[in-house]
Amino acid sequence: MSPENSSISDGELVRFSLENADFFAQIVQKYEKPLLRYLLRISNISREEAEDLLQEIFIKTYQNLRDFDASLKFSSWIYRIAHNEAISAWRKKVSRGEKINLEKAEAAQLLHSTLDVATQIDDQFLIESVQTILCDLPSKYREVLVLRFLENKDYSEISDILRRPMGSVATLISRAKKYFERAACKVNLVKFLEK
Amino acid sequence: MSNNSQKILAKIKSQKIAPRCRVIFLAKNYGIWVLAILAIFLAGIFLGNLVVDLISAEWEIFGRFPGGRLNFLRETISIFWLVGLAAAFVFAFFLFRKTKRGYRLGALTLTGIIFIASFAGGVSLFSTPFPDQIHELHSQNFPPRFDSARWMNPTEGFLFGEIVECGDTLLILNAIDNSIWSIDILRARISKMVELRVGERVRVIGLKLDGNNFTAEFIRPGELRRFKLPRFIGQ
Repeated sequence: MSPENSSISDGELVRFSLENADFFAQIVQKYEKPLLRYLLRISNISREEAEDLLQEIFIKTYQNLRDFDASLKFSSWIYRIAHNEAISAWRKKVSRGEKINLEKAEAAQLLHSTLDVATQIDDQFLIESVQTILCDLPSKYREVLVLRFLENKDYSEISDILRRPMGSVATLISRAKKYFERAACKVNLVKFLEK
Repeated sequence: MSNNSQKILAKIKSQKIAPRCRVIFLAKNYGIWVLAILAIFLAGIFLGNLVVDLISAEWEIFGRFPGGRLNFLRETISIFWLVGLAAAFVFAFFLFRKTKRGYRLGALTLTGIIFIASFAGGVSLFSTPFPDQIHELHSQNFPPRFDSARWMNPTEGFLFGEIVECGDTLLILNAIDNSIWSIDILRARISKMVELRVGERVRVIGLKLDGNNFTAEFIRPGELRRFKLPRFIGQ
């Protein structure tokens, strides 16, 4: 089996990586972009810092490969590791007041999923408002909103990533949406959308 | 291969990073399970003792206990069992949440499971000498709270002392303040643990009449006592 073979499943990649580290490069290749995007979405770190953090995440993943539970989705497991590392990084940097990295499409996607609106609004205003709201959201709400509406994870995956019961995930998402809506009112985003 | 993958692979190889041994993870997972099961057994012992305390409490005089109902609970239930049960329960809860799949259970479901498991674990442990040892240790170090002053309050209907004379309908009691009381016991409910004889120390609940005369409603043994644990299995 060649390490360049892209049709191998995650479970097999884990098994092969344990025998030959070269296979781990395929795991890195497959997950580096989604995980980098996820880190930038849930934490206030810069791209360079996120890349450094990503390296640590992959090293940690490699070290813990034998702890991977094959009954879980590998993506949920690696997201869990990324999530824990990102939360630690966020906590260390909370006082710096840096904004979450979002693109216009992401801000709009989040806004439309949580507030159920379809109005076109000014790019800069939209991004800044959503960034402000996300920064102000308690981390537990920010995490579930990002996982559900930006990473498109289902409840079961979110439950595995956050290590919370599914019922609790559903409650968190519902509360997060309400919190987001209230915060959107505060920054006049809702008023803007109603015009 | 992307730049990042190359960097990570190079780091893995140059620093000779290797996946950790499976035994470490197994030991950690089994360790959590062992601790959780121990916490369940401890919770079971505390729960069992608490139930014994509650079963053997003087419920008959619940409404007439000196100091009120809250005082009844305070004097009947050992805070040690309650605190121990709560601590073991919380410990078990968080340990189960730390197991590989424990997080999938909701708080209520997990609480229910721990409660049932504690009960089952407690019952099975009652066939071993271990709960007896804990019970004995507890009785020595935490004797039942007993406020004799509260029991020597005739105007409130409480008398506490030693029987000096005993008839079919009348008792003469030397109370703990050395006053002598004549007690009508015709309608009194006498505890099975009381033997009406000279020298027996008793607590009397009733009504003060004129002078040092008293009508008894309940006659209870002189001291509160911790009961022996029941044996569910093996006897």
